[in-house]
Amino acid sequence: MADPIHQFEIKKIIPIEINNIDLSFTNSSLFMMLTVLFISIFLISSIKKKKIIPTRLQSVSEIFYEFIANMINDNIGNKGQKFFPLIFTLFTFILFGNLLGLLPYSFTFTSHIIVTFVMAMFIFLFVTLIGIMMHGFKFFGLFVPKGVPMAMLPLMVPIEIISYLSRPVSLSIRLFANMMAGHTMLKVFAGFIFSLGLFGIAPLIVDVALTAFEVLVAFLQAYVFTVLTCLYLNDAINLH
Amino acid sequence: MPQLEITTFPSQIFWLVISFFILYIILSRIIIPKISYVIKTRESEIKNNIHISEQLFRDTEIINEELEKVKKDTETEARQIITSLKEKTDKKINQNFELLKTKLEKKLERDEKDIILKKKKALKEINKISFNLSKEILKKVTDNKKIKKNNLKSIINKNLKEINNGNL
Repeated sequence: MADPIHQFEIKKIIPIEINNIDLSFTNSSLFMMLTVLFISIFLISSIKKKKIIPTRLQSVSEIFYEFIANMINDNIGNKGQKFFPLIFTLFTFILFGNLLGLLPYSFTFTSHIIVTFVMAMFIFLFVTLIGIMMHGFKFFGLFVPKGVPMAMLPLMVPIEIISYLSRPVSLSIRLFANMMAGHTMLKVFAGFIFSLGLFGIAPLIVDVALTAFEVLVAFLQAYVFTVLTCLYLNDAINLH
Repeated sequence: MPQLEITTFPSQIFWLVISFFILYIILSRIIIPKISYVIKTRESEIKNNIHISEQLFRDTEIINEELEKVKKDTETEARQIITSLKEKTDKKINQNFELLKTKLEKKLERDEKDIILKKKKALKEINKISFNLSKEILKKVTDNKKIKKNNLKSIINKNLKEINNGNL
């Protein structure tokens, strides 16, 4: 039986080394680039004709656009619209990375903790920076919850700080774990199909169902990642 | 677990940053402006159409009002024409009536005169006839006695006058 973890292995395609640091173009890099290419081609070709009455493809890209615009409006408000390109990029990148990773023989770069962690860390630092830039020292009032008695503050403030600092960790682990678990599960059931012979039909059916479920998870996790980003941005922009 | 192989981290981070940056540039510079342009033009088009339809609605209302006005005007005009025609015809009828009346009256007058004339004539003749008749009767009754013509005439005239005065 094939190792279900085997699919996550990083394989070098073009070895590159700069200053003794390995920056090789790997299968992970390839799928990141493919995701970028796919999103660009899909969105550009769909919006090319700029029709007032949209074609089906154009409606799809408009739905993406309005989905993110509404998400920002609901969670941040009007002030958040300037972050629209970032949120939109984040959402499409994760979504199409997840979806492309569902294709057989492909690679899911979001199933690597380092990728999700870098993204989460970037968001964390970005949000913190935005908060400090907009509110200065007042931004740290975020760690002092409202309506809490003074006596409780020595306890509450450290908890708030810890929960704030754990945001990138939870954000990255949620996405990474979901993607890895889903793909591992698919692989495990796929391994049963041949080893069980005729009875392999049962794990096959499970695998088909799981694939559908994984499509949902792929979308859901991209959504959760972006919604949480919006919420964090909201905390930084509109201090409570 | 391949996720924990630290040696692959630099490469993944490097390519993630590059691809994410490229995607960000493409989306923010090319795709998002296009989509937002399309959505904005659609919105303005819809607003424009709503505006135009409102304008048209107002125009039709104005036209309707004018139509009502014209309707009322024509109605009153028609009524005026009818009343004026009525008056005219009434006048004409009256005129004709008067004309006819005067004509008839004239005729009546003339006829009356005629009748009076004929009556006088007849009376004269009655005079003559009664004179002759009485003369004949006297001749037969008196047997050729001389009759004074003038006496007889005056008697008859006297009688006739009496008759005329008494009966007419």
